[in-house]
Amino acid sequence: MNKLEIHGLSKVFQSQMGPVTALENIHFDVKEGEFISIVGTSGCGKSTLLNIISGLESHTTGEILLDQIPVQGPGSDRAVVFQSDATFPWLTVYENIEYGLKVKKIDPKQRKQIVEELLSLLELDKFSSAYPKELSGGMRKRIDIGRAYAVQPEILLMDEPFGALDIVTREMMQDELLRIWSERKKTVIFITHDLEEAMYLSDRIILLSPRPGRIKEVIPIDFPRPRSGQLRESQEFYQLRNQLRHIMGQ
Amino acid sequence: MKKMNIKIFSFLSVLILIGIWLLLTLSGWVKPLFLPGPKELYEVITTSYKDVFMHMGYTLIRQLGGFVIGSLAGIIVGLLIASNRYIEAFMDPIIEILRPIPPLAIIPLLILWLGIGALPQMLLVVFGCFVIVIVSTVEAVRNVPRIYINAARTLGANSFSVYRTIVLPAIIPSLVGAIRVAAGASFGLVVAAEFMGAQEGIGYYMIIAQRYLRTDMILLSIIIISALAWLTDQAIRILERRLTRWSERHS
Ligand SMILES: Nc1ncnc2c1ncn2[C@@H]1O[C@H](COP(=O)(O)OP(=O)(O)OP(=O)(O)O)[C@@H](O)[C@H]1O
Ligand SMILES: [Mg+2]
Repeated sequence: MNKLEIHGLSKVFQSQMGPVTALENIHFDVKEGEFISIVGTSGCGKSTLLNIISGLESHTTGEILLDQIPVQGPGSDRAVVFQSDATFPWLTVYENIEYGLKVKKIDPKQRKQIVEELLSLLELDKFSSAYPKELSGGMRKRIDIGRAYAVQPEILLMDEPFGALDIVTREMMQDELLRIWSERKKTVIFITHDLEEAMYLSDRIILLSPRPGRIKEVIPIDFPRPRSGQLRESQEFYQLRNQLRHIMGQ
Repeated sequence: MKKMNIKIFSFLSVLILIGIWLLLTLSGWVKPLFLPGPKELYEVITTSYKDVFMHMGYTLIRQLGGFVIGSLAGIIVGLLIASNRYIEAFMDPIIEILRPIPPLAIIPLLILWLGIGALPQMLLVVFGCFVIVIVSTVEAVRNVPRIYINAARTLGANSFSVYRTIVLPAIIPSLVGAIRVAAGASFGLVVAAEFMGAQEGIGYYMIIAQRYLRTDMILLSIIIISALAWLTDQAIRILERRLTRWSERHS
């Protein structure tokens, strides 16, 4: 069964210099529990696509079906982890993760249980009463992920969540994300411009071509799971990366 | 250690100021008529402290009343404006007209309309604080980072929740800043209003003292009102630190 279906989606922005077609004829399905990455060069419309799926941005043509129902406006069934820092600085780590549950008026006992489980899953329990400014960028990203997981979305949308992190922290966060994802299967759409990141994480990669953003290629990634750091250094990984880079460059 | 050193410099500047005052007055270079020395100051404290405190009391009630009403009104109207495009479009010209008016310039009008008394004086403070706070409130709401609002919406918050759980906490640092400015301004405004027309209050007391060439009384009034303004500012700073422990400014 398809979790998400996108049919004939396009997006035209009205800018001062006239209309800009950011996305054209986007068409793909995402299966329940699938980890899908969308890869493309800067400005090819990745964030636009994600914002449309999340409901923060309107679209020009086409439709987006979540469990066969057209999506309308933002909602916690499609939680987002943004590229830039989006932790609420006036809330503690605990309160940040609790935020969506409170908004949804989940009862306090259940709330406590969900938050505490996530805190320990993300290894943030020691910092539960700290404010985000006291934490590193990587830890803040984990809060964002925990906050999104807490509302138990149907689908998790991630827009270059690790783009601002250094390479070591980024790879650590990728492993972390895979660990959480394997424990709590969630449908994920992950945006990145880093091919290796997409290969390491995903079941499938959708390559976008720029101006206007179109689907160039859909590539299944069959590396067995669970995946670990060794995969990054393997011959197959290296070959696939070169192959994809070649396609992207065309 | 470094912090200590810097504190010493601030302390030193106060000492030097007091030193200059003592030197000028004790040496007789400046007559007590123009600048009273420590002896005159001590005398006036012992003889007129009751009067001064009574007048200060009147002033404080007006200042505090005007400051609280003006700031609260500024916050409430500011939040209303920022919550709705139509209210904003309606109120924007009114604020743009009020904003550049120097508050002191409306004193003659207030006296003409309402005579001399507590009401016009308090209204002046209300006006001054209102304009300061409303402008900052609207600005602060506009500056709430979009990403927090978007994040909240994708976590299930409706517009009302966004306003309550994102906008309100996010603007608190700017609001407290504006309230601090308003509190500072309110002391100046209330005294100015009392200069122009009053039958009690520290400003009135100072005008009378000036008429009788009682520089010592004027100096004492200045010291007391400054001390009060300073204390108020300190109190708001403590409140600010409490309320904005999370903000980047205090790390
Ligand atoms: N609000 C807007 N108005 C006009 N044009 C826009 C707007 N938002 C995005 N665009 C244009 O749409 C295109 C796609 O932008 P988008 O932000 O989706 O790219 P991206 O793939 O996410 O890039 P990056 O990797 O740099 O984040 C760009 O050419 C951009 O200039
Ligand atoms: Mg982007």
